[in-house]
Amino acid sequence: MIIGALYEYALREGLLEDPDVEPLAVDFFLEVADDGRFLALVPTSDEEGRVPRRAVPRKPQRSGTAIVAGFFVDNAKYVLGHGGDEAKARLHPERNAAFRALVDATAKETQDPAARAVAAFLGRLDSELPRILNQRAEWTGEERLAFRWSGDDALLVHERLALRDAWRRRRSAKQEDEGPLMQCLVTGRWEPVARLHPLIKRLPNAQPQGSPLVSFNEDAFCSHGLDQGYNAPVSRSVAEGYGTALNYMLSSDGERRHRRGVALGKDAVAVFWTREAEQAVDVLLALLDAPATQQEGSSPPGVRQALHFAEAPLRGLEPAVFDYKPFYALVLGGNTARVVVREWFESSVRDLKQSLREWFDDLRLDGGKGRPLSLWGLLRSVELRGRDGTPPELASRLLAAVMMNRPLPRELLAAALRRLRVPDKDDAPGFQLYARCALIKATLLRLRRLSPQLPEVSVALDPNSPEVSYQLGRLFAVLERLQFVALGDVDASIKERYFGAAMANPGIVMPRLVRLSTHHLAKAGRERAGRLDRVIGQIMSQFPAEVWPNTLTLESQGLFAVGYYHQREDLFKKAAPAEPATAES
Amino acid sequence: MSAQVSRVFRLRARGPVACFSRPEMKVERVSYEVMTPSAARGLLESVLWKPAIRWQVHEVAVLAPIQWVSFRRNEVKQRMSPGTVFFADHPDRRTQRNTVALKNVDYVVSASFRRTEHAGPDDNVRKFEEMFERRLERGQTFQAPYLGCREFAAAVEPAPPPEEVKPITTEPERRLGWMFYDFDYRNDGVVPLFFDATLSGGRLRVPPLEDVLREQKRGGNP
Repeated sequence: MIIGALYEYALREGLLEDPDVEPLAVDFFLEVADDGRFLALVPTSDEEGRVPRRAVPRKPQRSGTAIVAGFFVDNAKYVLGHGGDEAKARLHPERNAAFRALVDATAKETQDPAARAVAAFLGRLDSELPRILNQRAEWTGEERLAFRWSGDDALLVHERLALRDAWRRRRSAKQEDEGPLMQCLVTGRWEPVARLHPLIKRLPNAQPQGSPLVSFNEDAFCSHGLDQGYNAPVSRSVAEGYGTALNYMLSSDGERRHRRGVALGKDAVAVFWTREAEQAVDVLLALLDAPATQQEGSSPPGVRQALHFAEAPLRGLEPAVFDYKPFYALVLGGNTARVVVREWFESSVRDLKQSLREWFDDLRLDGGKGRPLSLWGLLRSVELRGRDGTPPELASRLLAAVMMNRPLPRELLAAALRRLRVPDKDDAPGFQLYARCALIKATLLRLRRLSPQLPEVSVALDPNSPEVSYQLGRLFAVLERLQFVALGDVDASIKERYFGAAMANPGIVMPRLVRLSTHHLAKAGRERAGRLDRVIGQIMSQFPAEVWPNTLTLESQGLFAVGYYHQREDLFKKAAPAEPATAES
Repeated sequence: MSAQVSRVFRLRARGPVACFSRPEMKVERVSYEVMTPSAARGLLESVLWKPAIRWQVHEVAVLAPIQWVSFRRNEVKQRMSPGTVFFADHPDRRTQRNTVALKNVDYVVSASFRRTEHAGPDDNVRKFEEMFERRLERGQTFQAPYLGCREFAAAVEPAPPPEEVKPITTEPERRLGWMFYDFDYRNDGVVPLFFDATLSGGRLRVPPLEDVLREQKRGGNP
């Protein structure tokens, strides 16, 4: 289904208008005269060094060191027989000969003057080569060259009608005599089957030139004595189609790293599409994407847009009856010579919209000041400094939970709590705390769906919550505040020194903090700290120290964090007019 | 002349993990959404296999929601041959492969069998029917029944009565695309057969072999 859905996408997006050509970046035009004289080497890049794409005859599939020449367009190794380091130059004469043979044959066949000019040029290449090489300081061999003939201003040589025809004939003849006819497992029709599948580029851990999604590169992977692609008969047109679709989705479009996908951690990329064009997918992309500028605290405009979308019930993500269009998500990674499908999700646009709405709902936490959270931002906020970042499994499980409206992995809760224990050293501690607590809240809410005996989590402060861990979190926030009121900014506040310990073992740590607070209270004085004292009293009268548990489970620790966050926000809210200068920390 | 075709049997198979690998994604495995007919045939044959009969699957009912799980394992990339020490843990022979499998599957397979050309004069359908029934009832198998891959063992038992079978119905109709049907070994070479699969009302209807062969021929010469 994956391949079929990708092929459909390529058809819908019109990526396959002409099966004989493909858009590729051409670095230089090589201009030749009638008699094959070299005239000029014209770089195509603009001022910013970007190289435009141009429809060129479809590039041949080369496996390993096999020598297959492109049709009138190829890299310098083939066109000039030059470029790259010495070690790789051994095969250059052979490459150039292959390229020349194809040009000669075509020139003879079509008698096209441009083709004959190119053939003449290749004939006298040895004498012209020094002049061409002088045009450029260093040749890597990867520069793609196309020909222009002095007699034709409008078209490049390969774009001339006669040569386009010749290419089409050559390709169809080749398709017929190459490869057996088999029943294609995507279309069900009998068609010539692809032996090698297209390379998928821009995937982490894959080879730089790309790796195929469908490949049989070891003995043990083949069945029934079949070779390569014949193990899984996919017609050539479908293979080209899905390859083009995937490469299109993964290609960068200037602003974003991947046009229709997002990187999940360091070694996976998720791509999304629907059978018909659909805005919900753009919302999802915006929601997931990392901000272009890494300014934490301020969220990328895309996410704001996504949230706006989600909160406008009639306009945006309200599932409609006709929304049964399928929605696909594919998580890909590389395994050197192969592409790995890590996850595959198939659902409907309707369900996706529903899930996104619920996700925003579950994530909502008082005091967010309307700051929307991208998944990327959430993952960043629970990362431990100086580590490898979030494991890719976690990222894709978070993605799956968001898309499919599933419970969030418990590891996320653990990661967020672990990160909370470490003192903040990041740029926007207030925002990070918000992100972590919002994630904890969403995790707890969704875990509760699985096991209803877990306590409820509220969006805003709930002073009458019967949960002792929640109340202890509140108490901690008040104690922290009290210390600040009494002593101002101290080097190591009780938050920095005791938060982790208090969260894990409140029965042991909290009584000590409460004793300490009497000193703070005395120092701050009744006037400034009276309100705080009342809150402490309110909590302590309901939950005396005898009922404080010595250890808290992961879920209760989460509640502790949420309680802490709620109370802290509440204190800020009320204190804000009186003490405008206090920093968030 | 006695009957050539047996009555329809129903068998329930479930397990924690299943991977009915798609041919195009069999290296870094990705499973089909639903058990393939050939995997269902494998389950039936693990209960009763005789050259005298050939199983024909009619329907696979999906009782548990389609859920996925993905994991990586160390596997070998070499083929077994007389010279190789197969389980030698040598880095050159190892390769990591990913599997996107199905989680917590539960199916009811409906199938019947017919006599083949290998059937002798004593091999009447009734005899095999009773054998199958007995063996299934007692949990006897020729080999451990499995769900797509040998390592994903299946628990096989007689299916509950039809009125108690409740297939999933999240979507009324779900097109699964062309699905692997089985291999055709009759001629030279091995020919894979495919059929256009649809999950409707949580049931995958499996066409008879003759229909698939006819369809396949039509695809070749329109």
